[in-house]
Order: sequence, then structure tokens, then C-alpha cells
Amino acid sequence: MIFDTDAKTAERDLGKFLSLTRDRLERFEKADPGKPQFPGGVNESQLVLHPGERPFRLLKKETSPNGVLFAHIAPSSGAAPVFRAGQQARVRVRGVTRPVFFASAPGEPPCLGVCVDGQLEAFAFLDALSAGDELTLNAPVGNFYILPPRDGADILLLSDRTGLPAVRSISRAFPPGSPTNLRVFCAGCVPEPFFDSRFTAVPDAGSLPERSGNERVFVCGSDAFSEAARERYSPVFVRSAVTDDPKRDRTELFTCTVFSPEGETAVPCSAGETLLSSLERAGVRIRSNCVDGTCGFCRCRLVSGGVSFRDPEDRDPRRRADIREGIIHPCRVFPDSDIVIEL
Amino acid sequence: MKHYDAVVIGSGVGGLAAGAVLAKNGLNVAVLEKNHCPGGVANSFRRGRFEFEISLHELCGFGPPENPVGSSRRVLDALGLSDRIEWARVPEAYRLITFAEDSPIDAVMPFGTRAFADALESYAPGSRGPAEKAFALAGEIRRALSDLGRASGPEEKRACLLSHPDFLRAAGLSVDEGLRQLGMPERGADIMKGYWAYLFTDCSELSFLHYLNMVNSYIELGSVIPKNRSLELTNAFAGYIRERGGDVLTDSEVTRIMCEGGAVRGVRTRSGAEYAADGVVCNISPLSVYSLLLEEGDVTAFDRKKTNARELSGRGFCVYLGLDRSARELGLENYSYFIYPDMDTASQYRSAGSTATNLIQNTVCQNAADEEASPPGTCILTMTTLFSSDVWGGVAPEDYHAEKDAFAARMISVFEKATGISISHHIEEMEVAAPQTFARYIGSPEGAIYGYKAASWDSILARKLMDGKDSDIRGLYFAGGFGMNLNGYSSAMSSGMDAAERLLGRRDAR
Repeated sequence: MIFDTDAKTAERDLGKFLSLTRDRLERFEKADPGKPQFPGGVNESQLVLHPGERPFRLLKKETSPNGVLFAHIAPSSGAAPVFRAGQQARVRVRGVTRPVFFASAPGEPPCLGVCVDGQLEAFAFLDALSAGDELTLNAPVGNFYILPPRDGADILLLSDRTGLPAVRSISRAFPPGSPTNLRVFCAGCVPEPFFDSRFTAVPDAGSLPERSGNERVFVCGSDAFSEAARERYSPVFVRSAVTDDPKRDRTELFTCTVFSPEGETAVPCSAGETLLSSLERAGVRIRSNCVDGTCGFCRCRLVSGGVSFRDPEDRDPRRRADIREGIIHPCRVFPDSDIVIEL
Repeated sequence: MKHYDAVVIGSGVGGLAAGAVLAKNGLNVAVLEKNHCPGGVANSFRRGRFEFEISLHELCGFGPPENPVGSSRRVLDALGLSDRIEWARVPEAYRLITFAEDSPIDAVMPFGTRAFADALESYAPGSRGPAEKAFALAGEIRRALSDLGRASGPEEKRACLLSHPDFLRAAGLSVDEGLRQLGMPERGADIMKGYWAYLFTDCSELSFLHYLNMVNSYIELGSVIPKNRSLELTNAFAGYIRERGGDVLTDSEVTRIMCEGGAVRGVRTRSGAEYAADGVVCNISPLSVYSLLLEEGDVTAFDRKKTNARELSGRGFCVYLGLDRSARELGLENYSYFIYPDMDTASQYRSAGSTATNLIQNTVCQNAADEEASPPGTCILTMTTLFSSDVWGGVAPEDYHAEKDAFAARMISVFEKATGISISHHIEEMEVAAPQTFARYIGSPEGAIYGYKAASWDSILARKLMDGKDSDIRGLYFAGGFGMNLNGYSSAMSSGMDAAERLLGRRDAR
């Protein structure tokens, strides 16, 4: 006996017990009989924050002194895109989707920026667009942004020419006088109209400055530039956003057999390109999002064949449980032989 | 139209467990998941060097193989999956810290009923006896529920109930009342209520029976985490289903449940694909099902009223931190920190309705259970709180990031002050999930992550006693956090198994 009970209290407790179902039923019977409504609030808010793919119109194009194409855009309907400075929009053209940086700061009329030469050939389409043309965007994407509780007040922001759009967005989102102290170094660039007193142009990656105090290091640029920055400041953590597709100096062609719910296809893939590039080029319907390995949207199972990973083991962007299952992220692997994958 | 014996909507733990049990019984089953990866919040994500577990703090109900009484072990053993997961044992039950009262609490509570009672006595003299009674009561509750399950007919049930007077008493008490009647000193009661945020109903309302059952399940059996995060569980379930010829289809958002003559007929997805099915298990909220997925004419008045009567439980807010020092270097010695201003849970629940006053958190250091959870010289800290209202729905999109960041900064600051441990200069990676994040990722109303509130009228006992059928629509079932067993991985797994068994029962009857 745990509680102090007797026959009388047991009958009373029994009455209470039996009323559990009676009370619940009564609640239901007295409730609003109208059609249940899915809530607004948070659920509507998240749709504004992540509206999914939607059409935008190109308003104006301009080319900067460093050959950056700035595309001023507006949503065909709905609210302006919500994003953090340094994030990107996913632009879709001819089956290939790639992230393009916002060059504007949040709250400003939206503007994308990209160096169309020497980068992903998908960006060439932006060059071909005229004012009034429509483009499909999905925003925002990317983890390259300043997060004050994580990063503190002092930021060292580095870029090459290709990273200028992200730099423009960040420098305008955290203007001089804001609580964030920004020092910006742009390598291989002539001054742009948006450069302010915090900017320094340097010849190349070899001329990057000493880190000051507890500065957090951010770098946006080509794979080679990001690697150089990582080495320069090692062992200090460097947050990077890479602007080009990983490539290898190999030209062999292999066959990738793809099993999906839709059936089986054979796709040619080059040893020098990421598997995702080859799959998209061949028109395979495969999900992708960040294209830098982190998001896992493109995850699929490697059934057979050999691949090389773009990332060293200690920076493998795959989840542990997925590694155990033979899952790969096609955006970060190169084929080394004929392979079979399962979507 | 492709036909399945059963379709499961949503591949969270509840849905996958249901799908696996159905596949085990030879049914041709499809689990349809709207995202690109199965699991719902039973998953993880990468940022830099770190892999962050989204939602699993600890799996209860998974004791040693020789004591398979817990819910999660029951399901995983039945599917032969228990040994396919790499488990790490959680080292202690919890550390409870209160920081805004005259005599603050800082109590580290061990697993094991005897050790727990001893520890409680050391922090709050006079507590051992009542604690031992509480654990004995938990055993009695288990026996009574088992006997009740075997009794048939109102007379037999009545006699059975009267033969379990302690169970009968406990069934009508709140946590506060129950601990008081057991003679627990106030401080001992405060410490024992440490887990209340796992159910997020204040202790003046929360069912003593439910709470005690959960606490006992933790203290008696301990808890575990999968070393490879909950995605390991998700992949194991999904693999099990596929190995038996079932389908787990991703990028397949169900937008319509089709009915005919008051019974389910099949489902349609956003892309227009249609699948015929004799049974549908919903691993999503009944609110989603009745307001979005069913034709208005297929929903009965009772199901409408039932849905409208329910109250949502907590909306989730999490801060995931990848720190650039090891746990040892930082002084993080414990796995689970429950940090509250005080143990006036009714007041704390009300305060959790606003970003200005919500100061409660449960914070977990992954590496305290698994040293290799992150690279050497680093560690992972995950902070979770819940909101008792849709306050985040009132934040304008242009203010969202700033508000999110500010609230996250405050959670970090509360942790530092309460523990005396300094972490803010060691944050290498950080991600913040607000209710909007959960609403987007799992489609839950208001970003609720604990299903329906365990209100006094909607307690687990009331649900189990009454919910003979899931819905007026024949062949429609619910599993997961919004189901009968309420929130939690262990509960979701068992709810999935139960839903599968109900579906099989109907199939057998036909």
C-alpha cells in the first residue's frame, strides 16, 4: 500500500477515473463543429521566409569594373526575398541549378551578382538575359553569413574577384558604424563603387593580411583561393564559400547507371567533373540545393564502382549514418570508373 | 494506379515503425516522405566539422537485453534492429539547476532507482522514503495497466480497478498532488520534477501517472543515444522496410487522402501520383489531416469537433553549437542540463509564452555520452526550449533573423550564468532552429514538436481509455508525436507499432 486508501476513497477514486473518458468526450461534444483550420502565424511566416521556387523578372543588368555582372531583379509576385547577407539564390536554367549570391543587403531592392566568365558555364545564361526576361529563383540557401552570437564583433572578410557579390552584400548589411567591425581585403581586384574605407585591394592570395586579435576569418572565392586562405590562417578556423565547381585534371569518360523510382538510365560522366554536374547535364531528375556538400539534398547510394571525394576525410560533409550505408553526395565526388547509383 | 496494402504518410519515427511492423507482417507497404531524406526530425545535419543531432536527447525505454520491458526495446527487438545500432550509454539522469530563487538547486541525479533515491536524500533530507514509494508505485501502475488490458467487460474492469487502489489514486492526481500525497519534501519534489520539460505540461496539471511512468522508465532502465545520430535509426527502419519489398519514397508529399463510403481508398501526392491503399497511417498531425488532406465532405462532425478541441503542446526552439574545445577543457562534465529559473512549473509554463520571459532550457553535451561525437579538441552542445504559444508567428519576416539570433544569444548567456561554464568565445559552428524551422521541415502546426498538450482532460490515460478508434474514417490511423502515446522517440516507436497492429486487426477482421 503506497497511498493511504480505504474502500471509501477507492470508490471516490474510481468515480474520478471513470470520469476521465466522460470529461474528454464532453470536451469533444462541446467543441467548435466547424472545419478545422490549419494555423497562420508561424506556418505562414515560414512560407514567406522560404517561398520555394518562384518567378522573378530581370529589371536591369550592369557590369562592374571587375567584370561582375549585377542583375537587379524583382519577384513577379509576392514579397521580396528574405535572406542573410552572404546567402545565395538558386537559379534554374536548362535543368541545371546553381546558387548565385545576393549582392544586395537584406531590405534593399534585390540584386544578384556573379562573374560570368571563368566560372560555372551555367552562369553564362545570366549574360544572355535582357531586361524584362523572367528567371526562376529559389532563395535563400547557404551558410556563409555573419552570425553575431557565434562570430563576435570583429570580422576579417576576404575575397577574390568572384567573391565580390557576397562581399558587397555583407559590407552593406553591416555598414561602417554598425556593432560589427569589418575589415575587407579583395585580391586581384580594382576598386569597385561599393568599396568603402574598410576595403583594401591586394594583388593576390599571397598578400593577405595578418589576422588582428580574435577576428573571425571569412573567405569567398574560387576553390584555390579558399584553400590558400585556409593555409594562410591555419590553424584558425576559416569560414569559406567557394564560387566554382570542383574540377579535376582528368578527361576519361565513364558510364553511370542510375536506378530511380522512374527506372534505369545510363549517363555519361567525366572523371574531371562532379557526378552531379554529369547527372544534371544528362537531364536526370536529382535534387540539389547547396552544391557544396553540406545540405545532403543530392544524397544517393553508391551501389558499385569507385569514386574520389573532393573533401579530405576530416571534412567529409556526409552524415555518419549515411557513410555506413554507402551514401554519397554527388556534388562532391568524381567518378573513377563506371559506377552504379540508386536515387 | 499502384496498389499498396498500406500507405504511411510521413517517415518520422512513428511512421517508420508502423511501416516496419506492417512489412514484417507481410503487407506491401509504402512510406511517403515529403523531404529528400527520411526521418523527419529523427535526423542530423552537418555544419563544418560537426554533425548535429536534430532532436534526440536520449532514448528511454531501452534497458539491457535481459530486461526488455521498455517501449523502444520492445519495438526494436521485434524488428531485430536493436543490435544493428551502435549505442552509447548516457552517463547520468540529469543535472538540475535553478538560478532565480533564494536557495538555488544544483543536483546531479544518477540512474538506478536506489542511487536516485540516495542522491535525492542527500539533496533533500526526508526524500528517500517517498522516492522509493514513487518507484514502487510505478511498478504497481505497470501491473494495473497490464491487468486492465486483460479484463473484459465493465464488471471485470471495475473489479480489476478496485483491486488496484494505488493505481486508481495515482490516475486522478497531478504531479504536484501526487508527490505531496507521497509525503515528498518540497525540495525533493522540485528535484524529481526536473524532467517536466520533456512533457511540457506544468506539474499542477500534468498526470502523475504519465510523469511517474516516464521518470521510472529513465531511472530504472537508463537511456542511450545512437553514436551515428538518429539517422542511424531512420536508415535502419527504412532499410528494414525496403528489404521486405516495401517502398520508402522521398520527395513525395501527400496532398490528398482519398475516401469512399467512409473508408480510405488511397492517397495522392503533390506531383499527381496516386496510390491505392486499404489502410493509411498518418505520421503527421490530425490537424493537418482533417484541415488539409481530406475532402471536407469526408470528415465527420465528431472528427471535426475532436480536432478543434485539442491544444498544441510546445513549439520548438533549438540552438546547436559546435565548440572548438573539448568538453573536458571547457568544464562540461554532464550530459543533460535542465536549467530553469525555479520549479514553479505553472509560472514557467506561462513565461514560456513570450520570448521576453522564456528562460527554460534543456541542454545536452553529446560528448559526455560519446567522446567521439565530434573531432578531438571539440564538443557539441545543443540547447532546447519550448514555447507555450505561437509567439514566433508574430515576428515579421524582416525581423526574424535578428530576433532568432538575440534569443539564441540569451539562451547561451543563461547557460553560462547557471553553470559558470564559459562557451561564447569558443563557438565555431552554430545553427538556430525556431518554430518556423520545424514548421517548414516537418509541416507541424505552429512548429509544435511535442504533439498535442497533455492537458488534464487529454492525458495519456484518458486517450488510451477512450481512443478505441483513430478516426470515424475506416482504415485511417495515427502514429507519432500527435498520436495516442504523446511525444518522445520511445512513445513514437510504440505508437507506430500500435497503429500497425490496429490496421492489421481491421484487415484480419475483414
